[in-house]
Amino acid sequence: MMLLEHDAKVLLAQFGISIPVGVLANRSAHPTVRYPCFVKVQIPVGGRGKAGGIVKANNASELEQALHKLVGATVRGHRVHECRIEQPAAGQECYVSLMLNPSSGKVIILMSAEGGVEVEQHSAAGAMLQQQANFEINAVKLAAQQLAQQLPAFAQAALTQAAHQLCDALFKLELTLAEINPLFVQPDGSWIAGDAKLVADDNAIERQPLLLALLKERGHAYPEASLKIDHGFDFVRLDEEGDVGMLTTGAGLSMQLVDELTRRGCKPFNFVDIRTGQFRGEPTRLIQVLRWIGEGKNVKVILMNFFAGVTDLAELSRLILIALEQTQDIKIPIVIRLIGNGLETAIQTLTSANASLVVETDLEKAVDQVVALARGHAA
Amino acid sequence: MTTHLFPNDPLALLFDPTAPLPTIVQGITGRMGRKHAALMQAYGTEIVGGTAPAGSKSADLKEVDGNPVFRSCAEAVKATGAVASVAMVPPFEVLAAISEAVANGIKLIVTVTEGMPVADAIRARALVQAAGARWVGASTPGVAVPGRTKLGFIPSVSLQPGSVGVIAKSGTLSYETNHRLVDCGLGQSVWIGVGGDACKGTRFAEVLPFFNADPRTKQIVLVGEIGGSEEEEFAQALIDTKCTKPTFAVIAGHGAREGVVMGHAGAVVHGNTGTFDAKKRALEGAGARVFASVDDLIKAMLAAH
Repeated sequence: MMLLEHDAKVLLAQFGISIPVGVLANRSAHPTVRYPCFVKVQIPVGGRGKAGGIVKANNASELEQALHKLVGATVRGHRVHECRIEQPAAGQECYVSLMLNPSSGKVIILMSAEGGVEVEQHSAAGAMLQQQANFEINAVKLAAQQLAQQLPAFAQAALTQAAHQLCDALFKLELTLAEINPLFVQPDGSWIAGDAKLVADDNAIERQPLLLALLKERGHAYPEASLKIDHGFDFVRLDEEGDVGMLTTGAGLSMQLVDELTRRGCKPFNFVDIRTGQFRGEPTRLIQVLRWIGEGKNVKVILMNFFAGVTDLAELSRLILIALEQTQDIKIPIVIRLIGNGLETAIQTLTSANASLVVETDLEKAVDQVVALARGHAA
Repeated sequence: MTTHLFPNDPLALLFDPTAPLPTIVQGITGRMGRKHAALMQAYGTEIVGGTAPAGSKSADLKEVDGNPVFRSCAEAVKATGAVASVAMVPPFEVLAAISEAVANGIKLIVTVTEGMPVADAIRARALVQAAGARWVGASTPGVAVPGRTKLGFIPSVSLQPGSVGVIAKSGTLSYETNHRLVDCGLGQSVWIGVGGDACKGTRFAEVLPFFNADPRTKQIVLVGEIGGSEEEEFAQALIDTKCTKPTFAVIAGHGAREGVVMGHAGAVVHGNTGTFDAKKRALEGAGARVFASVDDLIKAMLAAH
């Protein structure tokens, strides 16, 4: 889970990192701020400035205009729900990051006295210092301290301190990436984080009180992570205008089906890995996912795909029928593809109980039917 | 024999048809453990016992479906001579299970659990390497040698002895691909699911030398996903090992948006790293053929066969 800049900064401040004064705002909440200020869209990707997602406001009316323009807009493929309104910060732009390297199991430390939005170009030109350290807090701090000594004198103390504080955050919060760019260094050597990027390990959130508290308070800003904590499976809204609802199991195969439908001109509404192995005889998850898909205004067909390696399809088909009975208000055609144990009983159960269900055993044929229905043709 | 090429790597156990593989299930008294111990045994896996959670009462140490249950890996290994383990324990307990297994002489451990924290995985990988053992996982359906054994829960309907070496991140996408290949008469030599996490016990590139040296493996299928750098590392390994076995890859997640995780912790694109295009370029540069759909991959394999 990549934290939004605002949340990343609030967390980093708890580790002693100084950040510009700032507040969150949407269109309806206008905080009192000093001018000039920057209005920064809160989306989980970089490159916001270049994409027009960071706007300077010199007075209240400009702030109003900026919020009006940005909130609700789509920037770099992400809908903007909130902005951070922040006091300007300035100084020499530096860069520091710590990142877990999954292949080596080490921590990569990067530092540069030439940070900012052009950091990649500076990096390519040789301005980036790099060091790897064992996954152990003191080893990382020592390596960071040594690396900083290769920087120009003005940046050494600032980047050492910043790296040490980021290191505390990385280990304490179980982050996989912690980056400050730009890190503004003042002539007197003091420094402040202009931007911050933190990526938390989704798998560790449940043992991280600060991150759990963040999700509890601001779950709307992290819908996928909140949903996974609350429901125990993955559901991602891909396209609010989408025409195909997915009720599928398995991360890889579901991802592949999203690709395949997209390639064939459909717009999948969602991704899901419903995990039939965790149903324990209850249709709850099926009903929940059908309800979410039912919220899609343009969904014309639902694809259910269950490759049951272990799950008994006869049992699964009974659960599907219960779920459909309880979601009768959702009148969207359904194509079900089943393969695995108890297949014949399952097909019999489904087709005899509900004649409108299209049941397939071949995935290609099921996808053909879905594409036809999404285009508005009868299958 | 393959085993002579890599005598110290326990993965060789999977490539040697004569190597015995007595296996315990850590967590055999749990819902998952019990179910899958029975399914593995039915497939032919040499399950010799299992362990109950630490602190279990003596009354809990009854046999499970005829398999003895032990208080610890130490007791289990001593009594059964197990060399392999399948751990079926909750996510935050996987590290402890791995640590206990390798400390007591288990050479090959498969952990199927999804949701293992990265920090735990990094620590687990380091201690497994230090012990000279081999860990496959986390978040994997496991490994299989069709007709002989499976450690984990790769569905039997997708398994058939044959000549395709399978290396996969995703469970379901590899079930689907192999189910269709089996329908077309193409079975597997060895199937290794490395799992969908970013940090893991065994990476794509590490298993290639075994398939390359294995006389039964005639072609390789790689089931990849966006995110991370394993496909790129595998491409480099193809070049380094001078592998000439035809290699076919399917990579899921072509249409994923940057920063959005879809189900697998490792499947996420940040900036320009981990993209479908980068992986396709690397693999094709190493002589592999890359397909965006399972159907295209199967057609190409049948045409080449």
